[in-house]
Order: sequence, then C-alpha cells, then structure tokens
Amino acid sequence: MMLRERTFALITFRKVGRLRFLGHLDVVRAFDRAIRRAKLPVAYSQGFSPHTLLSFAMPLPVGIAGENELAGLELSVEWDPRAVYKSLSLQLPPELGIVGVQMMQKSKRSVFADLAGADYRADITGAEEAALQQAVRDLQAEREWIIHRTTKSKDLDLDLRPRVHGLIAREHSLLMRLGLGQETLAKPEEVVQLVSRHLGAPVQASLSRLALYTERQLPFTPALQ
Amino acid sequence: MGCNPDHDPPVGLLQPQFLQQVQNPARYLGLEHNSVSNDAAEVGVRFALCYPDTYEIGMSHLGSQILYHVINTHPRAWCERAYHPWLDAADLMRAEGLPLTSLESGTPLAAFDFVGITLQHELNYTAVLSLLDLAQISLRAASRRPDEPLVIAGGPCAYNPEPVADFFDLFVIGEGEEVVLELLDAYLAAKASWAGAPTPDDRRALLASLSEIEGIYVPSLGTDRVIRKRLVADFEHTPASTRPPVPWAEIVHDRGQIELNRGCTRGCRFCQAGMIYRPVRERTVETLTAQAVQIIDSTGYDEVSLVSLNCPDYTHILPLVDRLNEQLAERRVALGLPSLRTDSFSVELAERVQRVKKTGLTFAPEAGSQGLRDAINKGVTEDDLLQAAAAAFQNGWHRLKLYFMIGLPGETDDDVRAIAELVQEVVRLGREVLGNDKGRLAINLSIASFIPKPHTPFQWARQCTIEELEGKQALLREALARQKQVKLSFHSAGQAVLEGLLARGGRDWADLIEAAYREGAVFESWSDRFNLGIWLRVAEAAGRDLLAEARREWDLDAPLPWDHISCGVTREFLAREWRASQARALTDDCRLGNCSGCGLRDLSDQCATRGGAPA
Repeated sequence: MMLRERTFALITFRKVGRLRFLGHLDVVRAFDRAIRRAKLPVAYSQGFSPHTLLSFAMPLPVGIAGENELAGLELSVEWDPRAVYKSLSLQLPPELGIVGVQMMQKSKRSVFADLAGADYRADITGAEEAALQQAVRDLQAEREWIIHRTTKSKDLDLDLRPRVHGLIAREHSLLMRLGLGQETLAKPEEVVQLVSRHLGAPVQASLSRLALYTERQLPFTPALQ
Repeated sequence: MGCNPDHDPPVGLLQPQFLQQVQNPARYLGLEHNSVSNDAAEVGVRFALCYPDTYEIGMSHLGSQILYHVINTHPRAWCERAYHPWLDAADLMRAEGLPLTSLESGTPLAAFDFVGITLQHELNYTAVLSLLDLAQISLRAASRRPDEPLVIAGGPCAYNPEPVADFFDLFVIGEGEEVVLELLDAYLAAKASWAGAPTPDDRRALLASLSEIEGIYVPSLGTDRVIRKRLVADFEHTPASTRPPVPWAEIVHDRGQIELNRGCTRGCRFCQAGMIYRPVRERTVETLTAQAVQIIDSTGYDEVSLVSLNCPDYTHILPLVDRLNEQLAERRVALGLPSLRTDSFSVELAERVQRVKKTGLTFAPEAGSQGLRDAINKGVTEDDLLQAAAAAFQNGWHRLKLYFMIGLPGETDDDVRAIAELVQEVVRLGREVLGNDKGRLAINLSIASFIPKPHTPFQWARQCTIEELEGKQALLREALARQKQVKLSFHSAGQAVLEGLLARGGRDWADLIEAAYREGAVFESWSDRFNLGIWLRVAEAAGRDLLAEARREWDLDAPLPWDHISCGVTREFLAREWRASQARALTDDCRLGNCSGCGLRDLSDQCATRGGAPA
C-alpha cells in the first residue's frame, strides 16, 4: 500500500459543559457521525467491516471536562486543515467543539504514543481560598503522598508524589500537572483527595483536563505555565 | 445545527451534582444533533413527547421520531422529548424531589400544554404511571387541575384504551401525523378564548371540542360513540422523519429507518399489526431513496434499516435495494432488514441487501406443523422454510434466527414437537450444505408465547396458563437437548400472561395498575425486573384472581371492552376468521387473491380491492 503524505488530521477538541458527562465511546460515536455528515474524504480500514480510521489520545472519564483533547483522523486525499475545521465545527455543538486542526505526516507509530502527562484544573467548592492555599502548602511539606487505589485486579497503597509534576492553588481552583503512563498515572481526583485531607472537610471538585503533553514537555497544545 | 446550548441554570436531573451520580448520564443530556430548539416565549403550544421506557428504547421508536418532526413543523408548536429515567436516576429524582424535564430545554413536564405518551406495549403501563409521577402530574385525568397538561396517548395499545383510560385525558386512535396538527390548532383556538389560566369549565369545554375531531377518544365522555381510526390520506407525501435526533448514548436501533409501506394483508390471525394498520400503502422507490440519503446526510449513521411489516411484500423491493446500494455503498452505509417471510425470495433479497455487511438472517415460520400454520393463516409450507434455509446456507450464511410461537389456539403437543422436528431438519440441511464448514452452523431459536390481542381473529381465544406454557417450553427443551447448534430462548410465560390480561382488560384495571405501580412494579417489560407476585397480591387484595381471569373462555357474542374503537376491520370479519381458524381454512391475501371482506373498503379508498395499492 502506498503511503500518502500529510493525510493525517490531528484534531484538538473540547468536551465541556453538560457534555462532559459523555463517556469515551459516546464521544467516539459522535465524531464518527459528525465526520460522515461533514462528508470529509476519510480513509477506511481494510477487511470484513471497514471503519473510519479515527483514533483518540487518552479516553476522558465520564464527568471530566476536556479543553484540549486530541483525536486523529486519516483522510484518503490531501485536504486543507481549515476545511476540516470548518466542516466538522458545523456538525458539533459548542460543548463538543473543534479547537484546531493540524495536518501531519502519517507515521507508523501512533502520534499519541509519546503522551506522558496532562494538566488538570479542579474547581473547588466548599473551601475558602486562603484555606485551599494553606492546604496545598501543607501537602507540599509532606515527603510522601500516600493514596489508596482500587482497580479491577488489585487494591494498593501508593505514593503519588513522584507522579505529580506540579500543583498550585489559584482562584478557588487547583492546577496540576500529572503523569499519564501506566506506571506514572496520577488521577486528578486523587490529588483533590490529598488536598482535602489538609482541609479537614470533603470538598466538591469539578474537573477539567486542560492539555496533554509528551515526555519531552513539548505539548501539542498550550500547557500549564 | 438544530440545537443551542441551554444557558438557564438547570433544574431536575440536569444539575451536575446529580448527573455525576447516575449510570450512563449521556441519555439525560439533550443537545443531540437534530434536536429542535425554540424560543419558549414565542411558541403557542408546547408538546412533551414521551416514551414510557428508557431513552435507549424510546429513541429507537420510528413513530415517535415521525411525530416529533411533524409537530415541530407546526409554526406555533414546539415538540420536545422525555423518557423514563433508569431506576437509579428515578430513585434519585424521587429522593430529591426532582421533576422529570424535557431533553431539549430542561423544562419540567408539568409546565407543558400536552404530555403525549406512546403505548407500544401493555407491559409499559406501570412505567406510564411512574413517568407521570416523576413529572409531578396527577395520575388520574379526573383529578387533574385545569392548569395541568392534557395527557394524551396513542400507539397500538390505544386500540384497547380501557385499562389505562382513567390516566389519560384523551387518546388518538390510528395514525397520528394529521390528527396531531388538528389537535394543536383546536387547542390554540381554545387557549385564545381563555381569560388567563384555564378554569375547570374551560378544560371541560376544551375536551368536548377536541372529542369532535375524528379519531380522538375522550374517555371521560363515555364509550357510547364509536371512534374510527385515523389514516393518513397520502402516505407517499406524508412527512417522514429524515432529521431524527442523533443519540449520544448507544440505543437499541442505532441507525436510520425508512418506512417502505404501511399495513399488511397477509392476514395472520394472531397479528394485531396486520389488522390495525390496514390498508397497505407504499412509498415510491424515488421517495424512499431520497429519504435514505437525507437521513444519512443529516445523521451520519452507518446503517439504514428498511421498515415494513413484511419487506418482501413491498412491490418494488428489488429495485429499491439496488438503488439504495448504488447511493449508499460507497459511503460505507449498510442496509438492514427486519425478519423475513420464509421463502427463497427472501434469501435473494437478503443477499442483495447485505452486500456491504453480512449480518444475520431471520425467518418467522411461527408454527411447526402445517395444520397449525393453516390455523393461524400463515401461508408458508415446510418446503418454503427448507428451501429458504438451503438457499441461505448456499449463499454463505451459517447463522439463522428462527421465530416460533407456542400456546396458539388449538395447539397440541404434537404441534409443539413439530417445531423441534422442523428445526432438526434445518440443522440436518445446514450440516449437509455447509459441509466442512458445518462447525460454524448456529441456529438461534426464539420461542414466543401467543398473546391474544384486541382487533384480531384470536381476540376470543383462551390464553394458555403459565403451567401450560412452561410445559410446552419443557417439551421443546427436551426435544432439542441434543442439538448443540441450536440456541433456544423463551419469552417468560408470566410476562405473556400479564400482557394478555392487560391487552384485553377493561376499565376496571386502572386500580390494579396503579396499585401494582405503588408496590414497585415499573419496567415490567424488562424480564429481570418483572414481578408477577406484585400483581397477584394487589389483585387478591382487591378480591380478584388474575390467574383465573387469564384462563377464562371468551364468548363470541359478548361485548368486548374495545367495541367502541374501530380499526376498520369489522368484528364480523374477525369472527368469521376465528371460525375459519378452527376449521383450519386459509383466507386469501387480498392483494393476491379475492377480497376477504375485512371491512376496510368502507373506511378507505386505498384498499387493494378498490384499486388503491400497489402503487
């Protein structure tokens, strides 16, 4: 098969507002349908039941918003990224809107394979600003950040500290940069839990993923300053 | 784009602290592509179109999609949707006092002018009450305040409205596309005459005026007048749903649907759809192709299914399939077929339809023996099925689904065993044709229980008891125990008996349905939620023995609860067919043979024997 150049559209999109309650599969389905409605010249997989070559970076859980999520779409011919942006934007509501489209050379290795971290914002209700700031300072004074994590296969205590690359409190929010890999994963709700231990009371947090970035800290999208 | 984000602070379940507590919140969000937004201050009448089951089921219903479209074409109306939330969300709403709201604008249902609920299935009746209760609307029409919505029903179960008559202000009998617009106009005219909020007299006068529209039944005005069903005058040009809202969550029929024809004249004697949707009317290939393309363009679905009571009966079925393939195959859109009549033409059709993607093939012979197939007027023979199965295996299918029914009137144990024998014959044939590939042979055998339905020749049939049905199931299980290629599934006998009772019930059922609902019976159509015990208990408390009622004989001359509802097929014809069934005599399909005198000639000039169809 001939490898065509610059037929891979890297799509940055958001999942915000009420639609943050969509699950990952709902988002995949919505994009698949939006792409068919937009009549983009998509490439299909070979085989018994051909499907659109659409891929997503890191599935975002139900309830967590995303400001700069990433999807990749293979096209069968070269296409203007502005046309992809425009035609897809017409097919999606603002809560699942397109932020940008960039054409890339298709490589064998997934462009998402190098993603290693993500920035999150947790909007906190139920705590004073000064108390939140203090709680973060108190947390940072601790050498180990032990949390309890339950997965399908195991139950374990682990130290989150090496997996959290940055944490600050600002305007009733926590901003954090967290690892994403299998051995480096930290979940934003776990960080909120750590902070809330120092607040002495549970808080409500509304979570957003702001950006995804690679190992070399070369974000595709604006990262946390 | 049809939808705009709703900027008002949400009420009900849409608040984030509640959405994050429920399973699969995608079904409660609204904002779907093609959902219709409007300015509440600008519209004259607001209609909440509801389905008394989950989003996944309700969103799949073609009739609701059509009405949604039709009502939204009215210049002064706005139609929104609501479904019954799943149990976790319903419990949360009850605990928090949250009202059920519409998907489009998040408006509580109690603030609408109309709340319309489609009745597709008798086992949904308790969910109707649950839905009204969650909407904080009075359950009984008699106790509704004049400023509460008019609660209206339609759908096949409305052909015997009596068991649920007390819960509805009015019913639409028959096809809704035209009559719903007449209702809206009449309502708007009445509303214009009110001085402020409507008074009890205003509401009574409104109901009286709406009852004058043909096809509208107002139960509070009595059952003296015969209500004749509505039929759309021109099916070809009746609006179709070509821009249905596209669900976020995965639904049961997650695809586009085009309606080839309405009605069926095959005359199977157990089949309510075959009686109430007469006469047969068809759309042209041009119209259907255009509709399919519009649906794909507007939704982005990757499949369109052909909707018909019997696809092969559509006059231009092969040219239609060829045209659809021509238009849709290169866009990787697959075609889907519902269950097929059992003959080799059906296999040829399936072969053409499934060119893009070969999915399953379903046949519905319904009965195992020729005598019983004659009794139900299913005009297929054993040879038809075997030839169809052979053709299917030769054309590369190795998985077949077969539908049969047990508990049919006059059925003997030999008739039940004949199902097993026929299936064994299909298996033998499959192994022979598939040869080396025979390991992949799989027969899914789905066994339903016969349920007597109003407006059918079998409306007078005695229904089998749970013990009888389970005995027949055991007989089949035993006869097929050694056929490892056959996967056998049964519908629950208890559900079938309750459905039969509700289908033929009278107005005295309202108290039982409400009592069962109060005792926790919701989602009775979900086999894992069904609880016959609740029903037996509430009936016993009311001095009734439901199981005795279920097995009673019906008198051919006694009045029936649905005598005041006319679907065009006469009671005399049904009685004639009931007797013909006992004589195991066949009746012609009037599109192929003689007029059977069903009565439709007097209702519609589109009846086949009056030269109306086929187009």
